[in-house]
Formats: sequence, C-alpha cells, structure tokens
Amino acid sequence: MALLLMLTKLTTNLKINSMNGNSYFDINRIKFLLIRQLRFSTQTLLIGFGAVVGLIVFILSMSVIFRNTGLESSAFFGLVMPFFFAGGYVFTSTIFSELKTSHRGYLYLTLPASTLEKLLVSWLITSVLYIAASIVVMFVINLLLMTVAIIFSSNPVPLFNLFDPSVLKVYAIYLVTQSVFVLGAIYFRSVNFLKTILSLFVIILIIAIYSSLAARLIVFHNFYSMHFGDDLPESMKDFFVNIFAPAMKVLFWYCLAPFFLIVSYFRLKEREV
Amino acid sequence: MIEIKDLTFGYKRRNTLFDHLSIQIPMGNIYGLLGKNGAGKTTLLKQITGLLYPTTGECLIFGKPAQERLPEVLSDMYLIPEEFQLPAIRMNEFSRLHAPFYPKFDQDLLKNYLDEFQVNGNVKLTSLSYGQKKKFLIAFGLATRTRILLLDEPTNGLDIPSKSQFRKIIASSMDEDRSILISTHQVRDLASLIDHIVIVENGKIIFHQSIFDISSKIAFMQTKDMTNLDVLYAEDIFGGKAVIYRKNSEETEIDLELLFNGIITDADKINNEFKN
Repeated sequence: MALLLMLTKLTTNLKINSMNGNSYFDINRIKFLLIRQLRFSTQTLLIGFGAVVGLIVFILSMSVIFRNTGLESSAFFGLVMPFFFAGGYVFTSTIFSELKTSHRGYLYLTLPASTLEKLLVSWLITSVLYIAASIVVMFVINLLLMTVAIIFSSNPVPLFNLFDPSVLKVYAIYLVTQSVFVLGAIYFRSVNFLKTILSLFVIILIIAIYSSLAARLIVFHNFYSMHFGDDLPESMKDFFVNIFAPAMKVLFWYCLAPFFLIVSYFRLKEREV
Repeated sequence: MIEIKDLTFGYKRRNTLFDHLSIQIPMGNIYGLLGKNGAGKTTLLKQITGLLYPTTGECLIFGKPAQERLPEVLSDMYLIPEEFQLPAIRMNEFSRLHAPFYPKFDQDLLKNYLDEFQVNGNVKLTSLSYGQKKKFLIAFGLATRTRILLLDEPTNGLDIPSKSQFRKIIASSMDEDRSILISTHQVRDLASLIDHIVIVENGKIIFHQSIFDISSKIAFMQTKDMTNLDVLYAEDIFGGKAVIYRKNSEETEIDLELLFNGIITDADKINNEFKN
C-alpha cells in the first residue's frame, strides 16, 4: 500500500514536471552527472578492485600451485562472489559521501540536476556499471590464474563462464539487495555500510521473532507444542508451498528494489544540510 | 526575483529562528544582508537555495519553490558559502565537471577573474589556502553568470588587495538582470558595493532600505558637539561621538557600522524616518 502511494506521488511529480519542460529528466544532465560521479568514484573503485584482484589471485594461485587438482568453477566463484557482494555494498554505501557534511553537501544538493537524475546516476554506477566492471575484473583474475597455472602447475585453469545462468542469477541478486544499501547511503550521515548492516540485522531479527511467534499461535494455537523439525499440518504446507513461497519470490525479485529506490528518492529529495 | 512569504523556521521546534519573515528581492541590485551572530543570515541563504525547508511559509525563486531544488532554478542561482569543503581535484577539472550544469557559464570570464585574483587554475583545490579557495569559488560563481548570486561572508579570508579586487569584480559583473545577496559582518569591506541593506534580528527583517533612501533621509557624523542635531542614535568613540541624525541639507557618507548599531539598538526610531 505504501509502495503504491509512493508510486502515485512519484508519477504525479513526473507529470507536473514534464509539463514544465525538462526539469525532471534530461539526458544531458544525466551525462554530466555521470561524468562527475565517475570522476569522484573511479579512484575508490580502482583501489578496491586492485586490492581484491591481488588477494584473490594470491589465494587461488596457492591452491593451483600446491594442490594437485585443477581449479574448479565452484572454488573460483565461491571466493570471488563474496568479494563481489561485499565490495559492491561498501561501494554503494559511499556513493553519497558528499552528503556527509554540510560543508560538502551544499555543492551536491545545489548542483542543477533533479533528485531523480542524481539517484538514477548513483544507482547506475553502483549497480549496472559496478557489475560490468566486476565482470571485467573477474575475467582478468581468471586470465591471471590461467597464466599462473601455465607457468607453475601441470593442472590448467579453465576459462570460466561469467555469463552462466547461475552466475547471472548472482548478479541479479546483487541488483536487488544493493538497493538496500542505496537507501543506507542516503539515510545515514556516517558509517553508512555498518549502520545499514546493523539495521538489516535488527529488522531481520524482529521479523524472525514476530513470524515465529505468529506461527506458534496460528499453526499450533499455543507457545509450547511446536519444536524444531516438527512437520507442518498439511493445510499449512499447501499454503507455504503454493502461496507464501511464490509470493515471497515476487516480493523479492520485483518489489524489494523498487521499494527501496523509491524510499531513497524521497529521502534524497527531503535531504537538508 | 526572490520572494520570501511569511517564512517560519527553527532548527528545533520550540526555538524559532525566523518568525513569519517576508521579503522581496528584485533583480538588478546588490543586497547587503546584515545581522548579529546567530541572527540567521546563513540560514536565510540556505532557505533561498533550498538547502533548508521552511516550517511554514514559502520561499520562491523566479516563482518556483526553492525547496523543490529544480534544475532550472539551481542553474540560475549560485551559492558561495562561508564554510566549504572542495573535492581533491584541480581547479580546471572542477570547472570542467561543474560548468556544464550552468548554461551561461563563460570559461573566458573565469580565466579573467582568476587572473585578476592571481590564482593559478592548474592547482589542486585541497592544496590551496582558505582565501585562495574562496577566490576560486567567487570567480567560478561569477563565471556561471547566474541571475542570482548568493555570497556568505565573501571577504572572510581575503587579503587586503583581494578585497578591493573583489569589490571591483562584483561591481563590473553587475547588471539589471542580476541580483547579488551578500551576507556579511564586514560592513566596511562592502559599504561601497551594496545598494540595499537588509538587517535581520530576532527572526525578523527589522530594516530594509536602499542606500539612496538612507542617504536622503539620515546623515552620519563624528562630533564633539551634538547640539543643533536631531539625533537618532549616538555612540561613544575616541574623542567624541559618532552620530546618526535626521538629515537637514548636507550630504554625508553612510557609516554602515554605525547604522547597524543604531538599528540594533532602536530600529523603530530609525525606521520612522523612512515612513514619509
């Protein structure tokens, strides 16, 4: 319901502003913002990627050289992907770092671009462009490991498919979950990454406690007769399999990111120094 | 045109800084915004640029609410704050990244102003002194050729030659389509520049007159003998009194500092002189 209200308000804004010309969305301003934001973000990204490439290549090279088995896809992605996620979340958390102090925030907030354009550019850089850059970096790591294997090991390292459906799904999961950190980057004034993680932990904990209490009351009608491993009644099983799980999937894939991005939009629009 | 209507604002709910404040600032003038520490001069500039939102009332820039921070409004208005933190890039790069947002930006003008201020454009902003950074921001702000220019304590941190260069540059950049609002404590630095004076006190505009009206209604003098003067305000100075008095015939130079003190002490008495 809240999401629907926000969408209505957003579309109303869009209509009003489109009547006033290009005050809301202008491709040239997007281009200028993109250039500006990339200039301020590139150094952080390059340092981060450099450190991660060095660390991953070192760890996997040791595995390639000292173990007598080839490098498997699961080992490669098992190490690379946590760095991909963590790096992306940290990077996203810093994207609005100009807003941390009023001495710098004024420059960003008075920059002649709409809130939508500012949010869109920041999101593009931390999601689509970050994924694209990460694919290039993973490819470079793969090439370096292949070189290491050729020089130091008899077991060759294959060229991993960075566009395998299972890997594409990981990028998609990042695209959805990253939106939470966009909101954290705007919402908090300092230590954005850790505060977002802490908030997520608290929210998940509250939901877990609330839903387990609700389950005890609804399914077992009291607090004492349910234990871990207990089977659900058949009627509830049907509900969870046919309604709850698909609904959660739809919420995760199609509602979560738009919801957080819309909240981020309003948060950025209402930001003062 | 800047139009503030019935604006109420406070950083805390119970502590109101502006209480139903209203003012109109038309184009073609240089306004001096004066007030004691904490009177809300900087806050007023932040309201005008949409960096703070009014609790009630509205602040309109060219007829549009400042708090919307619309690109077409922001691209025609530039704020040079008193305190700022600039990115760790060279001046030329700052200009390359930010100038495209201002359609009327003039690169040659920026170069001329930087030359005038003797600032080398190929230096990292973070390696400059506060005064040099300020000169760069002033030069950049003027080169945007926005119709509204807001300056918060622009002469703070400027050396003596730079202050006169600043006055010269501002005067030369002025035209009837532009409005410049300067918030300052350094009234002596800008006395020759401003053509309207606005004084903020206790959340209200307590004085708003043009220099022309001030010089035609009241006069200023340093004297030992106040007899035969219709004194509106007087204060002790070394060797006598500084006096604001009802003008009779002679033209005197406006003493902004004295005027400010007089208005803060008894605004009604001086404002009465402008009622006819």
